[in-house]
Amino acid sequence: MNIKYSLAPLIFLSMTSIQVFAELSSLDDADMQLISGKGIEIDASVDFTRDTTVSYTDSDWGNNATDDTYIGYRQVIVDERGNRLVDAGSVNGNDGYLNFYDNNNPTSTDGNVDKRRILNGYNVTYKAKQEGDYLIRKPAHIMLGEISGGISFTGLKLDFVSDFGYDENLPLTEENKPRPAMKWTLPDEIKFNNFEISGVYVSTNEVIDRNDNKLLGARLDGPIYLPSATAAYVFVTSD
Amino acid sequence: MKAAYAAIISLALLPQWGMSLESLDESQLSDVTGEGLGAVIEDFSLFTKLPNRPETGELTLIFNDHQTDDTSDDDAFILSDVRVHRSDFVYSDTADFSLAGGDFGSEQYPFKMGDLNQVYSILTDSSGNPKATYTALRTEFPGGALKPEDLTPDILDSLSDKFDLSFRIDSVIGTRAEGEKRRFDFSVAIEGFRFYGTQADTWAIPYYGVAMKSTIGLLADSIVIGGDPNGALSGNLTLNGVDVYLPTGSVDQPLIMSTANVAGKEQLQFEMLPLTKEISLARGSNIAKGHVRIKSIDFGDPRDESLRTALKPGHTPGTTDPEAYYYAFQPEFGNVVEIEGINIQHLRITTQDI
Repeated sequence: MNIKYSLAPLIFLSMTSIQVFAELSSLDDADMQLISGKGIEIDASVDFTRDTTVSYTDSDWGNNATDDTYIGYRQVIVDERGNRLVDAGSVNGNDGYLNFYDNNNPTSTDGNVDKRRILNGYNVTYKAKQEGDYLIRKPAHIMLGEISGGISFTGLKLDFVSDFGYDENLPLTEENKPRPAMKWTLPDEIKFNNFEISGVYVSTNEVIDRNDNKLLGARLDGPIYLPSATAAYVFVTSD
Repeated sequence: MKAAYAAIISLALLPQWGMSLESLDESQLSDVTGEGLGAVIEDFSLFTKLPNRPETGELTLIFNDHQTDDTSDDDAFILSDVRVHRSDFVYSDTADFSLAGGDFGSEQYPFKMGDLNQVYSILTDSSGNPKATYTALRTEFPGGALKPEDLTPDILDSLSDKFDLSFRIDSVIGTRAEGEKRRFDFSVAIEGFRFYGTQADTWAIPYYGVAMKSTIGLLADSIVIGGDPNGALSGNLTLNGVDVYLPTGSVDQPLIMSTANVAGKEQLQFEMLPLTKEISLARGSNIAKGHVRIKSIDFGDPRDESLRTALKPGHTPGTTDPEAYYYAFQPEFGNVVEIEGINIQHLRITTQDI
């Protein structure tokens, strides 16, 4: 992944937040009015470039794809005490038991836990068991792979305001009082340049290859317009 | 370089976050219920196409790329002309788009994120305590905790403005006629909608990992599915006065995400764990039930003569006044569709290769 935007706004962002935090702790509501309206503006152009060119005609396709930007998720099975479990009991891992994870002895069947006893945790067996019915198998990786393309916008603004939620025409009460908030003003246009997650894959390992099941891909191209000066106020809630 | 970004970003976030979170132990967690981040969105509108702007945006969902590098042969659905705006705004070439925005949420009913809550099993152990207690992350839309019986017109107005959402879907699938790149499938317009009671709790459970329970509540003036590329009334299926409230999952029957090997291929699977006798006994009749209500349905033109069922009292037989007749699926009172007490007992969604 190649991030093209300048480091300067981020450094500025980090410093701003530290200063603001330091000041917030010592300011009362009245003083807050004085800093209201100060903020920063962010322009960004982010380019997700493939580190390697992924091609279906490339014989080494799988390995190349793994070099690329991806986001992965996999279930890690633990018991109630947090012990990691694996389905290691037989060649195809489908002997009906789960076993304690042992890195030194991957085929160990220590700690056999009857799947039927823990299925859903509530001794459930399905009426007509079909292939794929048991959820507790060897969990595969769900991966968003091959992220590419660009996103750019100008004029994302961040302000700190102190009078959020206060209606000055009404009396000051516990409900109606000024509160501090971060105000994000969204840019009026966000441009996508062939921004693509070319596949959501289910893979048995952390390598995407052409035999893995590719469920869906998505591509965003062109602008999204936000023409009405959309603002989002973010604050801490307390009930 | 990545490390440098990570350090800077975490530095930027640390001061605000660190102080409020680090000092809590487990027993204190129950005291902070309700603390999190709230957000209110003002003047929100979104378009992928505007008059006098040459560029348009679109989202392509690719279902099969035929394992080639050529994107032109991909089987795909294309979403375009997406419009989200306040309901009383009218899209036209001369409209002032700076006025298209509406508000989502209010200070009393904001979006909530990162709100930590304790969730309990309704099953009890031998000493009468909940069999399991988890700390869940709650995310909710404005008024996410509201139940259908809590709603009043004032509360609805403070949740959000009414919004319209519309888009069109084209497909590029299979072999196509020479020169035809895309085929118009249908358009969808959800008019005058608002969410209520919409929230999701996410936590982790033994054996299954990420677990979730959620509720969706939606009120809409109408949902229009258009089958005519030019928007002719005759091509529409319109559901009027839609009220949907659907609780899904509970602490004892959460929705989980996993993978399953089906016919030698790994597939993605979502499952709401089954209702067991034990859970069924423990919960009794005290369960969150959902509903779907639709006031009327228009097939094509709502005043289509072939849908007339009877002449209204006081009118002359044979009159050409369309309002003098009753129409099928358009009751004067009540709903044409009313499904009450929806309670999902077991749900499983597995992806498949077709």
